[in-house]
Amino acid sequence: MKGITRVWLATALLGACGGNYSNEDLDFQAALPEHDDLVAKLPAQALTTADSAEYYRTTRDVVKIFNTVLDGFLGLIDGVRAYPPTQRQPSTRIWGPFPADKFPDWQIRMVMDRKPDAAVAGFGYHFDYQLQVRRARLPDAPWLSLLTGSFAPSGGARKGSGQMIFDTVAARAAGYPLTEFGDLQRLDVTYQTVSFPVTVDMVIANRPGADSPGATYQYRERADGSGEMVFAWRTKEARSLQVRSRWLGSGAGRSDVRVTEGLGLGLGGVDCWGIDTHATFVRRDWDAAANSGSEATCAYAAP
Amino acid sequence: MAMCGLFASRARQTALAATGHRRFALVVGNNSGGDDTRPLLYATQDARRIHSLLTGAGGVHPDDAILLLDGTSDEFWRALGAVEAKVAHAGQAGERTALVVYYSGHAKDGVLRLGRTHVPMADVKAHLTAAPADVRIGIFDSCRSGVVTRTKGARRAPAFEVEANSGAETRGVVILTSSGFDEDSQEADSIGGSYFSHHLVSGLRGDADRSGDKRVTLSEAYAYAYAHTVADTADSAAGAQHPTFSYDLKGNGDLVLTDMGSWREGLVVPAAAPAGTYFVVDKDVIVAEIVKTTNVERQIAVGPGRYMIKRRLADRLRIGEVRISSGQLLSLDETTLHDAPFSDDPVKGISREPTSRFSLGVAGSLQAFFDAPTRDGLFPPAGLVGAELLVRDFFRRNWVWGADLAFGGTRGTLLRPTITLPFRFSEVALGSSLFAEWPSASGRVVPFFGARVAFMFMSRTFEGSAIPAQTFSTFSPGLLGGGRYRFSDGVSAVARARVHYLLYNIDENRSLGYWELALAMAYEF
Repeated sequence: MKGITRVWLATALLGACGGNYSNEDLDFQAALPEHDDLVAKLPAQALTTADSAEYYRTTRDVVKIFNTVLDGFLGLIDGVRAYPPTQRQPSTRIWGPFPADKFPDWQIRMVMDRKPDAAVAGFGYHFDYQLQVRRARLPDAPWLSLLTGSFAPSGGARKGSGQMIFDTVAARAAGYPLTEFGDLQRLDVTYQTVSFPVTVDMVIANRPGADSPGATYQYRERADGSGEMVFAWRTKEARSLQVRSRWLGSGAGRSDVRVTEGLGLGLGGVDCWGIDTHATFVRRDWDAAANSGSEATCAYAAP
Repeated sequence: MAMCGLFASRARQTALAATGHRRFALVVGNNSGGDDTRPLLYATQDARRIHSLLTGAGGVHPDDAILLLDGTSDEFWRALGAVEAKVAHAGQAGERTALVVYYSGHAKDGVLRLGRTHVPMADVKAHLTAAPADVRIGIFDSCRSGVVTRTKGARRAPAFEVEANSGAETRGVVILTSSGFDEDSQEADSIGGSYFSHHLVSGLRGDADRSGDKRVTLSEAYAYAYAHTVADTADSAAGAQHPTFSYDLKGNGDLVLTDMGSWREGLVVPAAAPAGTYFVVDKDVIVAEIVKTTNVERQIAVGPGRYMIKRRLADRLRIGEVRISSGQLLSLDETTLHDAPFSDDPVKGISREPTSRFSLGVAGSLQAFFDAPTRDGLFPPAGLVGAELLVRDFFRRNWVWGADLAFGGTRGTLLRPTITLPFRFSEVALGSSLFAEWPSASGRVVPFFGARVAFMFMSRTFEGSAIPAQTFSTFSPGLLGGGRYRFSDGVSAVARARVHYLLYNIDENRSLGYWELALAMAYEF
């Protein structure tokens, strides 16, 4: 009995050896975008009040939606990154497979590859990654990529350029439950954090028959805290609208809204606001009575 | 003849305490005798027993007794000077004084060997002769200690008789030695000490009181120790060991060394108890013997505690347990003893291997890997604090086995091509060491060298990042060396270096090495 105990103890101690203490892992994990890398940032001191300019409030809503969508997909990555890799190969890391959150019939895994790339100056490689799903009861079935991405490092802390594509077509066809994503068919995010302005572009394509075919977001962030968000969407009635908002680090800004397709083509509106977010200039092409202020007070000139 | 001499002296004896002698004692024990001698096992233990006895039933106030263990010659002379100064001070105050100097340890070629330092026995004898005390008693338990009594008046005899000289106060010098000038003094595991000191202590506790007056005189104690030492060593490989004496005492007669009548605790074997030799056993070791004759009450002085009592019969043992409380003079009840086979003998004796000693310490250390990239990018230099438990002389003498636990950490910044990460590094190490010590002659300085294996758990957390914490654990073998300085019998300061091997196998297989420097304080018990 004592012998068995000793063997058990020795086995337990030997089994305790190892771990995930890896610098290489960090390189892989750092290639995955984090929340703070990509989200749009309005000046913190610019508060929304009942008297805030209408288009300022619209801008905040657009930024909020933009960040919410990003968070939804970055959350998928974070859920995997919270764990050490399950498999290590010289140029590959694999997390999982794990039971998919909320869907125990499905498995999920993340595969990351470091691939040689002479075009990436200073590094000579880039990272590709796929978030994949598969039915748990079909271990021989091929993995379906739900999210694919790439990142090319460019020196500095988490600096580089990357792309992230969330494509639901194959997963929906295989029966993976995507109800929480509504009519979304594909999401493309392209970003670069190498130098200012940091750019994050998002293209949302909805399934045919949805209320809107999709939308685009173009976010720019500059070193002085100023930024820009261009938001455009199209309705199924073939009417397109674009909102272009720009703001200074102080909080003052300007938003230009324009109908770019369909009914009301060419009509537009402008709001400029000060650091208190109150309107300093208002112009509505369809309602002259709403106009007020002087455009000279605007932080930015007309585009 | 010997007994006749004893009884004759009994009538003329005078108790030192009763006659107002203030007693002083210097008790010295040293297990080490230098490079050319094998360390003794029980010399310091004998000294402790004598010290305990003298400051108990021996009537020496603890403030007037010095116990010097594993000291050097310088410390011996300082201690003797200190006790002589007290004696002189008491003498100047009009007190009558008695000085007892006891030594247990190595002796060779006429010198006492205190580690690597020497004390000529002739010098000690001269000091005793010239000491300011009225009565001076030297007791030497060491090999060839009889050399100190080879001069005029030395005897190797079973007993000596004290001549009365009424009208004069007792004055003079008595020297007892454990062996003849050409004999070894022998130790025994069963008694956990030397034969001579064991029987001297046992006799002084009361078993040497042949007269039954609950006092043990110098001549009674010597006669008892002589008889039992010769009997116990007669069949030993080293041959019989004969204690000697040198006696130059004038005055009222014999000296009472211990007085059971005034001692608070003890054991009484009543007159009605069966005759035989009763052994008083404490923790597997005989601490006293009582030779009981028919219809004679015997009494010994032992401190409070729980003891096993054993009496050996031809075909069995009679054993039992007694508990002596503080201030209690316990009368042994024969009915509390029971028959037992010889296999149940409670006297196990001290094992042939030396007695293990424990040591508990706290340490602070600095640890760093040899490889610079490893230091910069993987395991940064870190400070650790910890505790260690050591067992000395467990496997064999001067071998130390220990277990240690340390933890610590540091903060740093990891620079990778794509990211800069502030992190907090933590480490827990659980180790086991086996090393050998080489005590110096004085026993103060103890260099050591050996091996260690550690189970290490290291982790780093990345502050302000979603990247999860990383951990690594492994076994790490290594070597250790250093030195220990003993401030006293129990407290040591330790300076230690370790060099370890570590196999890192996460990103790739890499053989790494690290060093560790530590300072520690340890307490031995």
